[in-house]
Amino acid sequence: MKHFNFSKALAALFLSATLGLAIWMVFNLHVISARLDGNVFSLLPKSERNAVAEEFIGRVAKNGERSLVVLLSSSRLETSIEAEKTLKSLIKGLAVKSAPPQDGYSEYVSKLLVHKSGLLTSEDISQLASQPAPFWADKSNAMAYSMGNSLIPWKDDPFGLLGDWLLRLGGVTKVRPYGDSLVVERAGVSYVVLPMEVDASVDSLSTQVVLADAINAAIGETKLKHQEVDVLKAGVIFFASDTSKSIEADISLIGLISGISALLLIIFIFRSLYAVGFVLLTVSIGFMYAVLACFFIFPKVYILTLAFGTSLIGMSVDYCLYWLTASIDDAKNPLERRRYLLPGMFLALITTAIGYFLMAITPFPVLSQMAVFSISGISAAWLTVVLIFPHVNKLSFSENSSFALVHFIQSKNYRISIAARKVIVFVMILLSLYGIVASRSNDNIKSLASFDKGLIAQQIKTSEILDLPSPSQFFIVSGSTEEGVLTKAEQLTHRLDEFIVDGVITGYQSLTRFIPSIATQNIASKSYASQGRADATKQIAKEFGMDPAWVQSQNQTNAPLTIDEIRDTPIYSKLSYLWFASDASSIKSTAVLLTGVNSAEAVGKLSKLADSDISWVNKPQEISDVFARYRILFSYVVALGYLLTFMAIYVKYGKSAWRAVLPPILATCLTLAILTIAGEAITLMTVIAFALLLGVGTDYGIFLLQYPSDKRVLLSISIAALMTLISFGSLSLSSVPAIHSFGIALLFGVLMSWLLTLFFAQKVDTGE
Amino acid sequence: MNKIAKSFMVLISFLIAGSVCADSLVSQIGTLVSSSPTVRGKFVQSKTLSGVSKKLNSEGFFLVDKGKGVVWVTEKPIYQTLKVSDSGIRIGNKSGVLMNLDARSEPSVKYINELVLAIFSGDMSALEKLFNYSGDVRAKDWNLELTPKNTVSMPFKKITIVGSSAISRISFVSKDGDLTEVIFSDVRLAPLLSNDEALQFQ
Repeated sequence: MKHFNFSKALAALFLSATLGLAIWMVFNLHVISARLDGNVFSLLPKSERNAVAEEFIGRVAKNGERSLVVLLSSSRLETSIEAEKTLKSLIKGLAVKSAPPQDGYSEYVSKLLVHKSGLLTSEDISQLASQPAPFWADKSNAMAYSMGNSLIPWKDDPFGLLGDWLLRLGGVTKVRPYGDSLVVERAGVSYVVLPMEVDASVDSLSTQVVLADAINAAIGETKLKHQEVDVLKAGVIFFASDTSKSIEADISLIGLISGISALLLIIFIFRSLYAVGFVLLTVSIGFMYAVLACFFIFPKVYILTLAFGTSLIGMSVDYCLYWLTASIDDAKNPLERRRYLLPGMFLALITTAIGYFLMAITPFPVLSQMAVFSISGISAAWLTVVLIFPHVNKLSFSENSSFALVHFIQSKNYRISIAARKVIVFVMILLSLYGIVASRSNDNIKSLASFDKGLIAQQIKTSEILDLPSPSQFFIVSGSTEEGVLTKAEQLTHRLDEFIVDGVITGYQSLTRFIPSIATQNIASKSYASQGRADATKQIAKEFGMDPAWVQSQNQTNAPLTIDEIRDTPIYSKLSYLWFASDASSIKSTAVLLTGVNSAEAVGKLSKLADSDISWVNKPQEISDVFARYRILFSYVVALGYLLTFMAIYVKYGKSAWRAVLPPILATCLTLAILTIAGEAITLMTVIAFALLLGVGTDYGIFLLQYPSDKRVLLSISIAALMTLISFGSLSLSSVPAIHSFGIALLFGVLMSWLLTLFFAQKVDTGE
Repeated sequence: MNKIAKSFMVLISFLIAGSVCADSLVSQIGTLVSSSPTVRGKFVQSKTLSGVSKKLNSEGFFLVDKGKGVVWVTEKPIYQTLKVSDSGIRIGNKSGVLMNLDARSEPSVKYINELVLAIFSGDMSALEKLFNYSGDVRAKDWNLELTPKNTVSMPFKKITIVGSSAISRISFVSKDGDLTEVIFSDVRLAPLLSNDEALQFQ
């Protein structure tokens, strides 16, 4: 009697906690939805190595998130400018604004002027060394008498030396203002460049999609009006919109297919809407706990977690089904039934949790979140079944034709002769060996996500036209002082200059172009002090009526320019993302970016420039390496997992334990063989799927071992397998390659695991 | 002198009526200015540089070939040449090249060339892409005041062009306060450069 009350109290406690949380969730829905993150980069693994590189990539991503660019070109520049006007007027009301032109130029120049003796081009340095006074006097005269104006007042730069240095900075980008527009030329074609910035009000994925759609519509209308104009577009927002659309399409397709089939299956088995209601209730409770767990554990909840985690907790239906099938024509009272089912269900929960735990320890933020999502969802569903179901008296059903169907399969299975079984096992072993030996792996980052090919082509072309540096392949130069870092970076850029000549890269971006090292500035200042230039200064002072103070100021050498001095200028704010220094760390670093890295050979040459202070960062390669490492590691972990599971089961079931463990192992190997024959490569996702298979596949065997004489168990594991097939198998329809790989591996794996569990089941005890 | 500019109506309402009238100014200049592939003439330039007390006076001649660019030869007080073409900008004197800006390394050379050509040949349609403008047209004289659309890129704050039957005066005001005034004389049009003139473009 006391036990009964305890159970009821526990059920009431769980129920009221769930209800309370549900009410809290309803009232805080906006808080939860504000945490949703649609960032496509969230699929990338965290780097274990270079923190500065990670921060740099983060900065670029943050900068890049909001910017987009449209390029318009045609045979005539005028036509392109007309088209730009049309496009500008069409996007006027949208939440984007044209990026403001770079201003603060004169302020920047005035900061440079007090350091000008150190800011010289190498050409001017050699001329200063070789040319006599008359050359400099002539040059200064030419500048003074020239038609029009120079960029810096003559009196401040009478020989145009700082002007030359500034002109060299202009080489960083080939984009030039042209009237109201920005124009860049590439391979004889002029492109009108329209850079834009997405407003801060566009902060959610759905508003991004709306904006991207509106911009696309504006581009379409512009093209219609100016048919001879070609338009290129690039920007994270287009990818985000495209990806979220395909994921949405995925969710609705997968959700619809798996949802409807699952419901139909339950109705067919139990012939009761009451059962359907309880299944939905269990899944909903699981979903709620899963969302809340992620909300409280992670700072952000990825939209991908919700999308595919929902499918993962579809497995929570299993426990529901074990209970429901166990109650078919069952004479036991619900509490006895619980005592009867608990050992099997407990072991099943443990083995499933092992599978998800393996997923949680990957370096992929989304995967660990999905694992947490699933473990909490499934545990909540398990608790719902164990705590609530025994107190619901109406959950009892009668035997129907579905039984006959399952037992028809089993009886067929039993009729397979010993000889035939030996042949089947032999063939399976051969196939398994083939799968293990012949399978091909693919660790390329492309196996993770797929983007629209047209968008990628436009992005690449835009990067080429605008000379945009690669955000994923670059150098990080580090040192303990600013001077040390800049000196080292300059040494690197000298090597890169050679690479430009050899065509390995097309260019680079380095802070040292803007702030040369003190050593370099001192060398420049030394040549600035040349006799020829100093004499010429005196001469032109006489000619132009300049006072002695002017001569003195022109002939002095200046203190070197440092980062601190231009820190507040708008120009530096555009470069600041290249510099890393914090009070917390004594190490300072700068990123040196590259343009036009197009071949593996170039990457090989670049990587050789790395040394103790210069690290070469190749993010795609790094990701591939992480993929490969974890794919291999996971294979061992799966093997270890089987060993652990076998030991756990062996303790309880002794020599028969192999009947629970062998089916998923064979299913794994056979899936390898099938995928290989079908031409699919093995990715990390495939191996993670195998880890999950370890969790779910062994459940079937455990239940058959635990209840060898219960004919309902055969039905329940068959329904469970079918439900898993439906929920995981539908993932193989996903357009995201990673999810597809995962789904397809589980589709075959679960199917075969179920069939093999039946195949290897003990014959004697089924009560036939 | 010649036929670059014809007489214009006085457009009193020009400044008030805004862009519609601006368009009509452009089109009127466009129809009235009979352009020619080549222009040549003499110039007297006076320049006031900010912070420099001396007024810099110079004179010389210029050649414009729409296909080749502009040659600007200062003869007094010193000899020097400025050649602007779409491939580069070069300043030289008798002893050689003083400054060279290649269009391959500096894309704006192309636009500077376009600007210089447009100013010397009175090509209004090219100018209106780069400048906001206002102007006056009287019976025989006209003047235009150009301000850059994009102030970031242009060293000029204002360009004023005054013409009658030909361009007679151009002045530039720089952002830093430099003032350049060029007065033209003996401006002549021809379909082709003479052999001597062609040599100047070498």
